[in-house]
Amino acid sequence: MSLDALSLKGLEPQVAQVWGRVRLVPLIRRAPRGDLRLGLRRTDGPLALVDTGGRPGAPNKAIYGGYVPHGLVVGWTKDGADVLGETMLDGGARRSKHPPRLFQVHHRMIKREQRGPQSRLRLLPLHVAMEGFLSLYFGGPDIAWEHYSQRVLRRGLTPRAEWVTPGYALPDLDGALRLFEIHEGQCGVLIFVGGQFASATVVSHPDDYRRLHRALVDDFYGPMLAWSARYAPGASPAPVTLDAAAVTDWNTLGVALADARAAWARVEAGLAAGLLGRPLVSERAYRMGPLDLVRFDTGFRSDGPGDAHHIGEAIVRDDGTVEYLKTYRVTRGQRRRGFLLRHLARHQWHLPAAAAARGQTLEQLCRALKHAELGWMLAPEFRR
Amino acid sequence: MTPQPAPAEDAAARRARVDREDIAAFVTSGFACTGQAEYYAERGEQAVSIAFLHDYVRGNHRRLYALCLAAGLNDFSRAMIVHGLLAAGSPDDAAARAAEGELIAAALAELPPPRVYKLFRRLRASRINNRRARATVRTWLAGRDLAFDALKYRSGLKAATRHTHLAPPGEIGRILYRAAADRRGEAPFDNPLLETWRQAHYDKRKIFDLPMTVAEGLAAHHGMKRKQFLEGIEQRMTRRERERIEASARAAGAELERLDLARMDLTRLVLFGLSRPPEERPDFAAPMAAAAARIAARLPRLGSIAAVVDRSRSTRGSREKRDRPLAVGLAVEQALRAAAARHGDRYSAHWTTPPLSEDHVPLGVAPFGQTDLARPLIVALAGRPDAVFIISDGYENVGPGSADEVVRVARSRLGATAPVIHLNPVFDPETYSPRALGPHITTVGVRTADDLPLALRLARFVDGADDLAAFTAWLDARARRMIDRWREKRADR
Repeated sequence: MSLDALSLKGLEPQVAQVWGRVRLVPLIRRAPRGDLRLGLRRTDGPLALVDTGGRPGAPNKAIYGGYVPHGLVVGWTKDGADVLGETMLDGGARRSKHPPRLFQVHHRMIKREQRGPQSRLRLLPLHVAMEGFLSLYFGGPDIAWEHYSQRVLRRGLTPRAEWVTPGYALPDLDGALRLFEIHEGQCGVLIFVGGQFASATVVSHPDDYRRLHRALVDDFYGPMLAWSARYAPGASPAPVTLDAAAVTDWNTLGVALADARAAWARVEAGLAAGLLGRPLVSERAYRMGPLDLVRFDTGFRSDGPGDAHHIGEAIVRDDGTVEYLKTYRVTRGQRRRGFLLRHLARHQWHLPAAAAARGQTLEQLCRALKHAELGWMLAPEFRR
Repeated sequence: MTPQPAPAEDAAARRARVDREDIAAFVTSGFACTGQAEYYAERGEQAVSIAFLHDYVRGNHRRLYALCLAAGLNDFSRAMIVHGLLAAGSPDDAAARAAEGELIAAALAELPPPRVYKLFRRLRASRINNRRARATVRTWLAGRDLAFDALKYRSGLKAATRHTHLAPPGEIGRILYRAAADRRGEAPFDNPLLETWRQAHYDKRKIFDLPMTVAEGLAAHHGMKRKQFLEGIEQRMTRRERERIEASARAAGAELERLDLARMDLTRLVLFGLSRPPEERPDFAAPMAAAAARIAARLPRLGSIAAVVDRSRSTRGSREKRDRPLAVGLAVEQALRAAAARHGDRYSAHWTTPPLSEDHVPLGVAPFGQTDLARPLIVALAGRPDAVFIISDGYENVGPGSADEVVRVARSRLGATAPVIHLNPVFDPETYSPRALGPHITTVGVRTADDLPLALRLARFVDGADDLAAFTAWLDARARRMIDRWREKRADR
């Protein structure tokens, strides 16, 4: 099953918690189910190499290197029974006998660890999505068009690299996660930094959220958020205002307060509309019983000023309930690269055809590639 | 932080308003701020913020700054003010100089000695050694039993006398400056306390005639068991020392006379009660009621009262002041309850998250939940009380500004007239004062429930009912009383 649009069905946003330029909007799940549980697995160090086993279209076996401060352990059952021993999901990493190395080596991005009625999976959070993004059309052109450099023709687009910012580099995020209390039944959070929607995290069960909450500061975020977190103006929200005209007695005052807060929360949630309900391009990465692990992105098409793009990964039930979600907001540069690569692939990597489809000249397209830091793909005479 | 000025305000009125607000901010923060870490702020942030606040007020309102020594601020703030005054040098005007000098001397005489020695150490660290600073140290030391201080505050006394070039009289010099072996050596002292101390080095029984903190070290020197030591020293403990060692005495199994809860002040009682297991809570009910009644007796009649008490998670404070904001909230709640009961007025308490049942109040209440003040505030106002008190750190995390909006609309649409006073036990370094809830709510700092009568007086000034002249007159009167107390004490010696 693919994911066409994201909805937070079954999750209620609460009034935001504000600390400095960071706002957290808690998401509450009223009826959590027990058949999918998550645990956190710390790694020995944040730098990791992952053997991804090669993807279709890639000429060689691909190695993925990145900032991986922790892994997620997913336990699930096919028949809807509760996952047993969910607290065992934490820890349990197989410690190597060797002293810690600079790079931790992981086998596969998504690794099945246990089969049977109580299944278990280890995945590297956000990296499932990030890998999908980095390896977009990894293989490069199938036809040796004259426009491309020898390197791309021989080795595909490897290596592709993107920059991210770890959460602890965002001022106030650590404070916000530390200071505010986790709500009863809280299963997720929308994080806003400097008035911009930064990331959404959803898990299946409140107990899991409690264990994962503090790890949010280790996750990675779009690099532009480091700027927003420091300098963005007007990040602190306008105070709540009540509609005095509607108040006639104490009850209506209570109602007015609830309304004002709901409106305030809606403004918050509205900021996340850049992601919610928006058409997505998605791909299934793993199938587990009634659940699908999918990676998705927002298509990278439009480039309006306030238009944010996201990539992410989710575990979705067959009935469309999002049981696990983690998103990453891509920068404009990253969006452009994603868009151009996808556009080229759609036109069989034929540059003149791709340019014509955008109503551009070949020269303009080459310049766009160059500006998107993809100039190295082109043969020298097109690179200029 | 401040309400918008009316457009027609002329320069003089504006000046008066700004002055009033400066002093109000300074005094309210002088109650709440202790330089310790808070839930939302580190120690360092505060130090910078407080230092600025003091510099600013001293620079602009020197006389009022000195008068604030008599305003009933907490020990930390008073020591800060004395330090600030000594650092800034004396005023040129002779009368002002004399008045300030008396204020400083009188204020120091009321501070606990460890605070004063800490202040003297700070003088040395900041290299303040002007004539007035030396005179201040000399005057204060003249009122002390130097032999006692030489034992109990040896390093403090040594630092103070050395910094100000005061020669310690005779035997005191031996204690302060001689090598350890020589200090306690063979030669007897004339002073009986010092002689006891010398003998305690060789005779275990003698240590029980010494102040507790001095004896503690000597007990270790003799390898005495904690239980034996505590039982022997019991009569020599000060009241605070007795309160402090309660937990360790129980752990050591020492059989001491029961801690006299009835003499503890309310906030300490609550803090102590919160640290004890639930089965002991009933023991606290009577002493707490008595302590609350003592505070209530000092309060004017307030009419019917509604209290909104914050028990959100942030009230658990910091490692340095664990549970302090919660304890202040609970203690103030009890004191207000007693104040209403004293005059037979209505009283109601409203919590940000309601406790499970009334019998859990107050000690069964743990920090929990969000800071939602607006919702309980509506219920409180709907009961049409004569006064509403909010006890909270002011960080509304369920929609900032909601509480202020509720008060605004309730006043404009529903005819609510009750004053809403916000008592804040937490200093916010960002705003240089306890965090306010909005222009319609008067915010005052508090450190303990015993501050309540003062806080009420202060609230009148903060919300503009009193102008600066009236407030200054009040401060003047308090300062005169403080100086008279000091003169009497000096005359007694």
